[in-house]
Amino acid sequence: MTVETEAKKGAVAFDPNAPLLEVEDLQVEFRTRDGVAKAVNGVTFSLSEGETLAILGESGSGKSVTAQAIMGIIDSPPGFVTGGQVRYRGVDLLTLPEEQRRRIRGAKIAMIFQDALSALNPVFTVGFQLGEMYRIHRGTSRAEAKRRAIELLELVKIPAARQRVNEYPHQFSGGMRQRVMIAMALALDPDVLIADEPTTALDVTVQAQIMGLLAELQRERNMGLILITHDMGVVADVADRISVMYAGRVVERAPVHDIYASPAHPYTKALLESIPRVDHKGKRLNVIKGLPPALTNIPPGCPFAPRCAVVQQRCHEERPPLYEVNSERGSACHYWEEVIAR
Amino acid sequence: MGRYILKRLLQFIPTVIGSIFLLHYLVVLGIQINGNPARAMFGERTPTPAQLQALAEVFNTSDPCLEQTGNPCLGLFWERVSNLVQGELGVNFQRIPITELISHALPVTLRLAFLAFVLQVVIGLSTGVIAGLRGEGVVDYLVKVSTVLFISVPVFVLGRLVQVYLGVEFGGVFRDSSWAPDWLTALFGVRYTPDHPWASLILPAVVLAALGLATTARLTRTSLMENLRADYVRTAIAKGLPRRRVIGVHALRNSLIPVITDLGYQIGVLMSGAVVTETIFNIPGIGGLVINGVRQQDASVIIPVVTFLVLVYLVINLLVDLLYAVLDPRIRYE
Ligand SMILES: Nc1ncnc2c1ncn2[C@@H]1O[C@H](COP(=O)(O)OP(=O)(O)OP(=O)(O)O)[C@@H](O)[C@H]1O
Ligand SMILES: [Mg+2]
Repeated sequence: MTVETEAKKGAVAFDPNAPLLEVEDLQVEFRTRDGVAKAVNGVTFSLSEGETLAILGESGSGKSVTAQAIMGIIDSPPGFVTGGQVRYRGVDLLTLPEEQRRRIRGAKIAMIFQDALSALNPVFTVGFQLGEMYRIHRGTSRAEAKRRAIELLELVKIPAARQRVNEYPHQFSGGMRQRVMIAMALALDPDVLIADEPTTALDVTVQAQIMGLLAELQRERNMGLILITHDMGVVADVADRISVMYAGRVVERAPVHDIYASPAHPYTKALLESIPRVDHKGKRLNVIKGLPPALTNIPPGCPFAPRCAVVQQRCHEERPPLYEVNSERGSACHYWEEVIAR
Repeated sequence: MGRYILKRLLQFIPTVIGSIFLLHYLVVLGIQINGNPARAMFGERTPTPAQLQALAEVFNTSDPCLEQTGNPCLGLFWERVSNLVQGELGVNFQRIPITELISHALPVTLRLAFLAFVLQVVIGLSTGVIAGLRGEGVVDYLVKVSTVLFISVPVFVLGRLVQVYLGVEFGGVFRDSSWAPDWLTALFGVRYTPDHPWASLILPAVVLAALGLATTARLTRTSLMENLRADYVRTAIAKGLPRRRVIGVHALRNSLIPVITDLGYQIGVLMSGAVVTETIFNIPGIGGLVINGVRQQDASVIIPVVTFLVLVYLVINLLVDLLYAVLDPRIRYE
């Protein structure tokens, strides 16, 4: 008994029965010369095994910052997590000392970035960068790490893995590089995978292949996947649930089929209308007019009010909470009932 | 790779011949304007034409083209080039073989350049890294100020200042004392002492290194700061690598590419800086050789020695370019 506690000393006591990942009232701000930018203002969501949660929203809505806060890789200063919790298996990661947090990064919670060319180190071989996961986290020997790196490349279906393991990132095509990123993220068999716009930098055919690969690997490993994107088209195929973000807040959350059928927030509705659709060919696309509020100076009422099609006086004065639509859905609109009915 | 090296080596030939011609022409013009250096050997005495002719033969300054201002003396030039190619460097006005002069001077200059280079690498890199990691602060400020200072103060001014304050004033304390060991006296000496071939070169090396050191520190700082913001550093952190490794392996490896390249080129700058430093501190190195040659208008010294410096510079440049390809896998020479 004592021996066991000795051995576990310094290790974090995760509860295997606790929910996989819960983010609660997360707040992040950037203290810059131009003022304090409140990039994330009370984001709440949860993720379970095998589930795909899509986080959607315009540029600057705080999607990447939310992901970075979960990973604990926010650029600080200027970035600070000022409130909330990020619970992994019941343990609030935000309270852990950096060294323990580091051990979780990449091993339990891994992340894939948008631009794989700049996200990979140009001066090390792909094999070195993959092998590092095993060498640093597991203390594996160089030779063994390289063998594992080859296996990883095979896992993500890179042909001639044995040769390519010795090549540098610039020798790979865009799609192949993103596969390398995926391989790196999966190296230690994480429970949670965060993919921050993993296909934005790729051309359309390759996009579909990469999304397919991600979905397949996720199913096989029963990982929780957080898929960040501003492409509503991608979401429909792979996501189980969606959280829509606006100005650092979740404005709507819902299972994927519900949101397409009947959005409960005017912003979601506007987003949906802005997707090009085959059956609407010839009609003008509805782009959302106006700009999101400056994060240094978010107005007191509903942040979407200045751009909203169904805005009322109340919206400018009173900030809507995330109203419960049903047990699975929420909407941060005072008039969600009218929005959903239309 | 082999072909690239061969191509570069072939490119050396016109560069070297071109610089030899330039040197040759400058010396010839000097003689045409100032008169035959053989005449200077006689001091106040007026030589007979026969004496003068005999000495001019020895000095290789008897060619009649040396009397015609502006004449490039191509015949003399080809004679010099073919002698150099055959490795016949000849003798100076004092009839000492040039090879012997170089073999005495070179080790001294190499020691001086080596000391300066070590200072530049050790101090330049470490302050640069500290400034780069800490961001704005005391070290960063020092790096910025010293770069501006050393760039704007010429080497000979800095050299004289160091010589007067550290050598004469501060060093005087040791020279007058009974307790100071010899090496300490030599270290803060006014000039080079052959008994302490390393210690007495340290002050000159500091002077020589000053400019490059500040540049290296600044370049390291900027490069590291830039790379710390790079996406791949964020990836390295997200992989769960310890901070030590993120900085020491991922960020630094990339940051050092421009720094190492620059250090390579700086060796060339060190060689020319050595000429000035050696003159100030009276160091019998290659620089002293060149300066004496210039004072005496002794083409037989100037041309081979400076050509040698040109070759050293070219070879170092080639090595740096090759090193660059090793450091950055994205660069491949065809
Ligand atoms: N390093 C930083 N320094 C200062 N402010 C930052 C920094 N990173 C993010 N921000 C702020 O956070 C806001 C949200 O950024 P974030 O990257 O999360 O947006 P996003 O939703 O991911 O957008 P995109 O779709 O363009 O990726 C930005 O508008 C910016 O004001
Ligand atoms: Mg983003």
